[in-house]
Amino acid sequence: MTAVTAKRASHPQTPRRKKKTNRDGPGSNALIGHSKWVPYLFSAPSIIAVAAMLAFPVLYGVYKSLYRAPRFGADQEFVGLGNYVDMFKSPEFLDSLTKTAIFVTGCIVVGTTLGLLFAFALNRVLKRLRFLRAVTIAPYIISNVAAAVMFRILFNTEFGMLNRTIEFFGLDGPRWLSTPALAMVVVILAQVWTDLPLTILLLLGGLQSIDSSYLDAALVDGATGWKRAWHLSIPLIAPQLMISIVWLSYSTLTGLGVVLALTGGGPLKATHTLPMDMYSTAFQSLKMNEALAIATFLLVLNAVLTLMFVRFSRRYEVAA
Amino acid sequence: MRVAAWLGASGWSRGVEPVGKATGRLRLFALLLLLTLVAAACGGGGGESGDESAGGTEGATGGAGGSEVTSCEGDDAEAEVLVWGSRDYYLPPDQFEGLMEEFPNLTISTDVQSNDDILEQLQRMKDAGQKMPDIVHDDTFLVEAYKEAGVVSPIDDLMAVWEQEEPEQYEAILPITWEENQYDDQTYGMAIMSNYDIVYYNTPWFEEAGIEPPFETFDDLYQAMVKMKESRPDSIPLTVQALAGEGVTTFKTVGSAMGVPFEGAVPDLQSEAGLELIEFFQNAQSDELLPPEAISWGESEARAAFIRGDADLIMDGITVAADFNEVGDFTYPEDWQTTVLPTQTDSTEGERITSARTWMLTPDAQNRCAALDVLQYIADKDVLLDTLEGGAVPMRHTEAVDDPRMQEILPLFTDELKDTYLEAGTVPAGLNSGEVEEVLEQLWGEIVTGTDASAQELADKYQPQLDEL
Repeated sequence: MTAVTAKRASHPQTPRRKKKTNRDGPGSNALIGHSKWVPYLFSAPSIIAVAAMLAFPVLYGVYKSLYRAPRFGADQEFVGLGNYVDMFKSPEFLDSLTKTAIFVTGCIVVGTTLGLLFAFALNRVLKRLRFLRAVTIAPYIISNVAAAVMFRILFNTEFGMLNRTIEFFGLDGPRWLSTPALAMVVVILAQVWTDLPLTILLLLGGLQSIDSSYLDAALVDGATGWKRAWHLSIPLIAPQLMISIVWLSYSTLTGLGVVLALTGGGPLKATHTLPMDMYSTAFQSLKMNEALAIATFLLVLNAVLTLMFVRFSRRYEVAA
Repeated sequence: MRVAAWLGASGWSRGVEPVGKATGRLRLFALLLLLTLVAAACGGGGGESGDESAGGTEGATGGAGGSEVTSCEGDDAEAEVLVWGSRDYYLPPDQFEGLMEEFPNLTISTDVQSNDDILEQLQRMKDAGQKMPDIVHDDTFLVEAYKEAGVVSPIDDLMAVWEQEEPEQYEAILPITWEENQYDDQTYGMAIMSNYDIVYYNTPWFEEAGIEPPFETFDDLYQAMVKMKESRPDSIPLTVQALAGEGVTTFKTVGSAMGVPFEGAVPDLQSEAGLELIEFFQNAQSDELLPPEAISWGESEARAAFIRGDADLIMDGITVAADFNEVGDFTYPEDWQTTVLPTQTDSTEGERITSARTWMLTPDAQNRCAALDVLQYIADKDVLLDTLEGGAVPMRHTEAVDDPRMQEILPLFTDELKDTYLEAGTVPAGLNSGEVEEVLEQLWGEIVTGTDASAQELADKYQPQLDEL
């Protein structure tokens, strides 16, 4: 508990008394500064606008997920949680959930590891090479569908650059996109490639904000290289690390473009993640309400994962 | 005041015990949530019924939004028509300027919606009470879904006027153009242009191997692939697209040609022809005529393999010829030629199919005579040929396919191709086409990557899944 909150807890009446005095004082404004309601009143237009723009579509989606139509465009009937019950009973959905878990975990692990490596490297680059920091943003400005197509060409078994290189050394390149396990690896790499710039920038920002006196002190104490990074730098950038993990988790959990354009969810549904399931349910099977149930589940899953990461991060900060 | 007090506004609620700050916030949030849910519930009313009409969509399922017409002669009222094309190359290249010159009171605007979501967009517009475009264009197998969603109206009255006022043009259009779009004795659109899956082959390699198309039966085709493998062991005798989400067109086209019975969009895999279909591709896979990598091939990879000379043969739509022609040093007929798919196996006989796109009228097309003008312009012989020249597909129009320009634009459209094209049937379709494709994609994937299961076992595994849809 911080000092401020501790003080408030020990003197619970203080703020209320102070407000009462102000309200009765000469020259005081009867509206502003005395009522808890007034700030909300003045904020109401913005709150309503934000609610209408952001909350309404989400809640409308949740609401429509409680309905079902026998076919696209036909009368919809209220089924309560029927779509959710069917969703959890469906082996295809559970399979997609497993694929999503592998995909998200893979992306977070690979993305965070690479992000840290690049951030440390870029943090130490010479002045002349600082343009590299700007270059790292390049993947971010490329559409993820374009990136997926690029990876599709790169990993093509017959004429992809990777297999051509492997063949140059007299070896047979693997069937990257037609082998289920390898296809998942390629999809993770492509997704990480598109998300990496923001991760790097976040972590680099964190590293640059570390007070050099800490690092110097650690150096005097004999901590160098890996020890200094593990015991000092990484704990000090824990907030940035948490934000980057939350970002990666959100981006990969909802990411559709890369998977759709790279493998279409194949081969043999090996990369059929939840967003792919939602997409095919909505646009291939034309079952909009059922797709909204998947979307709602993704929303909840995202919120739960984010809260989980935040809690874990707080614990880590305290421990550090 | 009571609400303010309930929310914790002590300054405005004299005599009411103020509540805690956190409780007030919680209650404010609860109130906002409640209001949003109420708004959602009110807003959702329009979308709950497919038969409800909103805005200009009155009478969507039953009849036309605009009054049915019996004659359009002398109709020169001011009219604006908005046309949504599904691909730019399906719209007349002059963007209807010729028609607008002929009818100065007619203003036609066009838009291309190439994301394959026109049906969803119309449904959303209908729910929101927005005015829909007058004419839309989409895959013919989706017409029934459009009809069921109440976002298209029948055009039988316009067909009657067309037949009466422009009998020559009407007669030149093949009946399948209308028949393919008929549900409950009503016609919901005009599918005037259609793609046609054919066999492309590498000319010098076929000559080298002594293979002479056309192929009478699928066994002939198979033996040709075996010969190619013997003649050029490093090449790929059969190239297909099996990337998830790209559809199973080849599988369905060959299935129809082999005589697989379809009920709507659902094939009978356990029938004799169904088993032969599975065996044909399974054998090709196990004999290394069909590469397992094809599971990750979309149309780009499959076509690139053929153009690069890695593949001897590819089954693809006739529209691809335009792409091949754009490649330098890969010319027709020196480097590649085409032939039609066989329609016989040892024991069954099927039919070739064409996959079309349909022009439909929405219930918001109030000026139906103007809409008829647009349809007639699209189906005009010269406009059809111009559209074909712009990259579209052949037309179901007897005069246009016989026109000398046809040969100039599409030299591969030989008499053999033309005759079979004019006789071809339609893609098996139903409201569950999308779901059927998902199941068939799984089967197709298993076949292409190789499986120990027999054709009968595969059929027994997937048929119940298909029958459930």
